[in-house]
Amino acid sequence: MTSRQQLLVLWLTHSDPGGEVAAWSRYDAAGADTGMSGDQDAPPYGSALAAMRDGWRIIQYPRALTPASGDEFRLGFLKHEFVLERVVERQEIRS
Amino acid sequence: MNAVQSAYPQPLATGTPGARGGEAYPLGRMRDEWLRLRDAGLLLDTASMARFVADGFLRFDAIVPDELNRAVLAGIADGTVTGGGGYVGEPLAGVWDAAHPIGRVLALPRVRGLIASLVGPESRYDHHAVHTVPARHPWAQGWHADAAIDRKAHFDIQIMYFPQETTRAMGGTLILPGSQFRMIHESEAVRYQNFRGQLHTVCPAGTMVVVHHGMWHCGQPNRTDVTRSMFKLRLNPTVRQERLWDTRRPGDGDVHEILNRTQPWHGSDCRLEIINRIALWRLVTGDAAWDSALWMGRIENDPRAVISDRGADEDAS
Repeated sequence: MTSRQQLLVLWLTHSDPGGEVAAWSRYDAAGADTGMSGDQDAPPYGSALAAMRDGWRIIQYPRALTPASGDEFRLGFLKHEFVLERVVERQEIRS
Repeated sequence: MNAVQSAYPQPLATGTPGARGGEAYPLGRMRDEWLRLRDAGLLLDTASMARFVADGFLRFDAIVPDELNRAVLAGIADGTVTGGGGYVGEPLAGVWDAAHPIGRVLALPRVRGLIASLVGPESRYDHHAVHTVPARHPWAQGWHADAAIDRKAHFDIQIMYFPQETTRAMGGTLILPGSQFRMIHESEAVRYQNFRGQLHTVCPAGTMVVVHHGMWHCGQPNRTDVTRSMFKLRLNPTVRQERLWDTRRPGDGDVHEILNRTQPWHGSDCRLEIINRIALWRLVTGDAAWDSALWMGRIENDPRAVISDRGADEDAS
């Protein structure tokens, strides 16, 4: 029995873990559920809180940063990035 | 310029690209062509322009006729339509001759009209590429924006031309509507896999999807037995992108409503998106005071009149 990590990265619409999912990625070292661009039309959970209720543990809680002066209106990467993990046995995923 | 204005992307100091600008792009000839296109009803309408500013793309289904699509596909197969080229900045008009399949596509009146509406009637050829995804290609490209990080207010366009019917299984380019203001450098967006609101290109043959240069996009797997090709062409403006569409045609939709309609993935940034749209709408309309729902007006409000004792004293002195 070998344990491996799964990561679920959720970008939420605001900074609360109960916020709606705006974007998502998933990485699976235990099985074959690593995603790629455009492979899902709907997120696996509605929010980070919903994922927590299903056993995912938050390992990154995004900081809220005040934009630098002069950068208040510049847009870039999505802000509210929650990283969650789950450690599972490899054969559980393969079954 | 106040502090708010300085935070927006600013126009470049030089408006005409290339050292040869004046010779290669005579203003009188360009204006005559633009007027011809406008009088023929071939320029975009105002609502379409607003949708481009808001969403960063426009789609023109089956704008290229089937006979010409077949000629382009044959050209891709036999090498007549080369796989790529450019990167020197010559006038588009001299890149393909009139009989070449791509030259014929670019000569289509509606294609001339949409190009003129967005980057002017004689745009500069940046580069082109034929993106061919083999049958049963299992992998997707990561999300990216082309070229390098690019904050200028003026925009290039990228025409994605699909010469064959493209089904979801064939993996037409995936775009992220409303991503054009997101300043990233090329492939830095690969950490994202999916977004609410992402849009797969599923289209009839001859469709063009025309995107702002900042649009996030990625190629998709081809799960069919048919090779899929897409011809991409990047064009730079050669004139100020001010009122190049037919401003006399309002089109279907209200500009304020269009510019205030955000994407599901924008989340808490949605008002910043609208502010960036207003800044671009000001540029393309030439109306530096244009506003919607006072999004800019309240930020820019900077009253100067003093009515307290100090002001009264100064008046009296």
